[in-house]
Amino acid sequence: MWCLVFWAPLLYAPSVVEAGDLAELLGQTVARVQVLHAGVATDDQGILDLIETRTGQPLSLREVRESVTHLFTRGAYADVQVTALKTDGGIFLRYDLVPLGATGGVEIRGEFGLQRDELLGPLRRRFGRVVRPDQVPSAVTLLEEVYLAAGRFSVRITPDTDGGRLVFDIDQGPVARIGHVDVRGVEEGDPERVLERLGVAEGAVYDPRQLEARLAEYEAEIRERRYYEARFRHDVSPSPDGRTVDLVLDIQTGSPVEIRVDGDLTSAPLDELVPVAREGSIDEDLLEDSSLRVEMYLRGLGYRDARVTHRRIVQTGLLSVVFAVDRGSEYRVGNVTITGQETVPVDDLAVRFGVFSGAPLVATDVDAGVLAIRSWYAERGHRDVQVVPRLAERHDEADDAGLGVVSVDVTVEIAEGSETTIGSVGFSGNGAFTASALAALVDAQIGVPYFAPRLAADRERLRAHYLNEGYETVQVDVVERFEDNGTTVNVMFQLIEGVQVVVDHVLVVGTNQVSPSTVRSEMTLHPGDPLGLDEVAETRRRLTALGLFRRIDIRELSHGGGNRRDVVVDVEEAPATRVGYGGGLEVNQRLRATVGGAAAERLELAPRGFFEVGRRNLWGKNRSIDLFTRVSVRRKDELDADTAVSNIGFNEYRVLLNYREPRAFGRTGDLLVSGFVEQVIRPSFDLFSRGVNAELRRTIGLTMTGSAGYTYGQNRVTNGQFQNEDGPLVDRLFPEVTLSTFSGGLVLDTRDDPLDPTRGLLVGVDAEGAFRNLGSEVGFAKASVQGFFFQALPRELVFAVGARLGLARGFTLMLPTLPIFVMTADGVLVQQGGSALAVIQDLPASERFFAGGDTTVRGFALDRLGDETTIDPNGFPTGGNAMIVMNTELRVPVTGAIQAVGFLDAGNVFDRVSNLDLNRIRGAVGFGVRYRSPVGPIRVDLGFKLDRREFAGEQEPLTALHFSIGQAF
Amino acid sequence: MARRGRVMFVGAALVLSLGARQAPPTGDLVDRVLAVAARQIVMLSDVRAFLELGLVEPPALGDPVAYTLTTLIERQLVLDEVGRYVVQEPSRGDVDTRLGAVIDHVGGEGALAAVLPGVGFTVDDLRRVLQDDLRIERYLARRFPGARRPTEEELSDYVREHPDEFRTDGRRQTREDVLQAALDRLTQQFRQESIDDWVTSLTLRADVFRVP
Repeated sequence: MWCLVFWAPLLYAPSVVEAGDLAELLGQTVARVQVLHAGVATDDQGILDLIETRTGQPLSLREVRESVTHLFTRGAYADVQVTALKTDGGIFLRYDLVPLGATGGVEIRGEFGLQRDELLGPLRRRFGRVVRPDQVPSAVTLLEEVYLAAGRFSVRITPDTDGGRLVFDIDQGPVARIGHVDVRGVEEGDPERVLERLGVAEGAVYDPRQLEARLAEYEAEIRERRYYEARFRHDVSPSPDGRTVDLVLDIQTGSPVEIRVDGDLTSAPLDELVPVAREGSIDEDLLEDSSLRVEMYLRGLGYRDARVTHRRIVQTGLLSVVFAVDRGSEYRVGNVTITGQETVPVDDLAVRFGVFSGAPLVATDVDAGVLAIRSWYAERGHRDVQVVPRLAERHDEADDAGLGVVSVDVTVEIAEGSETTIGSVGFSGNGAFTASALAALVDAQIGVPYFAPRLAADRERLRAHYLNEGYETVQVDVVERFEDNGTTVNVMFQLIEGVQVVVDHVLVVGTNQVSPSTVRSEMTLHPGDPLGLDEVAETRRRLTALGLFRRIDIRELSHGGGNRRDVVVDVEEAPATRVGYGGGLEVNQRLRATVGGAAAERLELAPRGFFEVGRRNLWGKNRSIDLFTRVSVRRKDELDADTAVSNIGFNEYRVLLNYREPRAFGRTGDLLVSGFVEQVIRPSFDLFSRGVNAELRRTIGLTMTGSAGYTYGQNRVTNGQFQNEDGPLVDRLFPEVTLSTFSGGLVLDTRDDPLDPTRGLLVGVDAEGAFRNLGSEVGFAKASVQGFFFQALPRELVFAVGARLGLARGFTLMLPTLPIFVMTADGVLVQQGGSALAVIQDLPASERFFAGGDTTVRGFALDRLGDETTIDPNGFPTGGNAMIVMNTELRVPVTGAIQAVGFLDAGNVFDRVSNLDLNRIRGAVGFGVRYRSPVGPIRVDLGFKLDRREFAGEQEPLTALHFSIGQAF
Repeated sequence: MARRGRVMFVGAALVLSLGARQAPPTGDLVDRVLAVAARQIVMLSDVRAFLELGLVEPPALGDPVAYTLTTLIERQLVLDEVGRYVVQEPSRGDVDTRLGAVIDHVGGEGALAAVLPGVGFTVDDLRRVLQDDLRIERYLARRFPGARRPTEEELSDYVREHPDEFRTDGRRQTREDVLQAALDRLTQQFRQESIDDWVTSLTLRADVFRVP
């Protein structure tokens, strides 16, 4: 009875319809369409949108096929079945979606031994988010390989499903122990030493990864001792039960290697030309390349007949690699003559030829010069130009002055030929685009000189245009028909457009926390659009820029023929919560007050740590919130009057809470709202700030960013070295100032790497204003312009140059001062003079410009750049309303990770904009070292002042030392 | 109480069961996914189409659906491999020739027009299938241009084991003709064996899922 009850629904299992029956159903009106997900009717619009069969329409098998394909493409179903029933009202159609067992992810259980990530990691990398049922055997094989690599030879892996998850039941089996060990390739008596060195013993647990690591380390150690043929390997034979392995250690050291040069190779950079030691190898390919490199080096010096061969000489206990060098005679360019040119001045051609009298005669230079001339003519329509170099040795001058130098006269014979111009440009086979539209895409025009590579580029441009419009099978051929003795060519672009492929459905797969609408809003591909390559790339770029996904796969799926494709966006979400922490040490030269109050520069160390936690993709809309905290241990300059000991503590800190709303205000831009509390110990003062900031940021194109923002906050300056009667009035009247500031900026950034750029440009313009009638206690306007340019040079050199200009002006503020009272001799306070107006035109200290330090002018300690107008009598900087900083730097690679730098910096801080004077610029030169670490270049710079001055009776130190991370600019 | 509860539960189950009967029955299976090969799905309608259009010749004995499904899976794997290389696209004329053969098979253009909707294909779909078949053939011709030459012993064995193949109108062909014919057939057989081995290796290393 029970069985009957619960199996009753299954009595309706569908029968496979026969072709004849199916024909009876097709074409009849669909009365109802129902979609069952795991047996339950679903109204998920995302699923229903994929159904092509519509109520009230005739039943079409083609539409059924397309619907099944759409549904299956979601990657969530193990099967999709469609059944039909003829009813009085028409066809009742049902889509039955059988969920994939693995949609809930992959899990492992049992005695699996290894770390979970060691097993799940490879699965994720190979299969992504979901292991489909058809991939399960491959997944098992992959896991078995992981265990083999871990030395487990009898692992048992059973795939299963559990609550929608694919589960691998794993029994890793017994650990393998080392049985017999056979050490090969070493002399008698040495095996014990090798075993000890490798930590291998019979009966020990066999760990192949550890053993391989030790072998590699051992091999590297041996190779450093010039045993470049050393090769250490191991092999095992596991027992049938996998409990023991017989181990073979193959230790082939070979002989130590010496590199010898037989011949004259004086002053050549042998280590670079023959990089055997650097590569730790004497591979035959490397030796052949080395011989060739030496040969090319000599030929570059004018030894055009240079021959270099190498051979191995095996001696007892030594392998010599001998490079036999035969330099031959040295050749130099004698006279250079160009003949046959008619339409071009000979001087122009001489420059293009680039081979000049007196220079070493280098065959490749001559060939390059000939090619340059030939290309120059060809680009101007001389398609038959002949350029032939003739070399003539001057035998009478051979062995000139006994130096063995042979002069060679070089004659370049040119036969220009006739000029060919384009007579007509046509297009055939074009239907999707008019000829005029296509003509606008190509360079070929009537009257333009004929140049075959230019036409090839036109052809590729046309092809790319069609591909971007979805014509994936487009063929473009160029037919050239020459007339008038070859002086005219008629160009015809023959097109076979093929079918335009358009997007049918956009399917988003793999989203869990992220709303599919977030993905769709970033997509530039929409149903009905041409399926173009650029749009696919742009969609990928935008989705990547979201930062929400660890993997993005965009694939297209054809189904049922026709020109429509589904675009499947398969994503794997990144974790929503991020936690980061770290520590570091800040080392720099800073100003400190001595007991007497004068400024003195000291090298200071400040340990620091940070912690950040963030949650992204809030409410599935890519909103994020981040909390960043940082604290540094640094001493304040508050000297204890009695002990003259400074206070050390967590005196620098920063707490920053950020909220980001992408595409705020109707996609205008990204909105960032921040709250901050911060304390900074500056050389001249301590600054405590707190406030809130809102900024709207918009990317314009790929390289430009515009921003507009508002900040409301309070700045409190304490421990100010200039808060005395000699210092700016604003600092005495407003030690704590409320600022209400509007700002805007524009940045153009084409750098290839923000941390360590080698090419590109960074230009930024910023402006901000604080207004008293909008809540600010002090009003001012401030603007800064900065530009940096980076250029890669040959030999991996990088030239960097930058300039920064800052200008500010305080809005005049008049405040009544308090009346001054004077105490008379009899102890009575008497007002002396009435209250007056104090006029303030300065900016608060927190807003003034300071310069000097590791990112500005590196010959100076932090903030110390200035002159008598911006350095107070004690030697502390007061800052100013104008600043100019210029930097020039040459970065030179030393080794793979080390870079040397030479720099020239200049700049100054001026109390007023009107006092900005380039004659008052102060300069510094210096050098530094960069170590390319995974977190960016670690930097040490030593700067030297070009003009030392005296402040507070002390001459400025000559140098300033800086440690930091990242390039200076 | 326990008895009463059990009666109520059984009653409810019966009501549910009857309710299920009153719901629209499941009906006939129109289409479904049969397998996934090289990330492409193979559907029941594909199998029907290949059978009805004569694009596959199942053996007289055995399950034609199972045979066709295997053929389609292997075809998809080979197509996936072909897609990795540049293969000259068949001309429209070549496809037309193949299309003509299909039309002949189904009994004329009118019959084809009647058959296609029943298998969920359009003429363009069919042309694409035929075009892919030609691409496969071109790829195989390039990858397997020939086979090893049979030995004298293999030729003799073949002639001895297939005497009927070498008679014309009941008369035995000349020795030269027999040897040439045997050579051609054996070479073709060896080539086909190489292709079959290759397809088997594709099947072994590919992810193929047959929906149970």
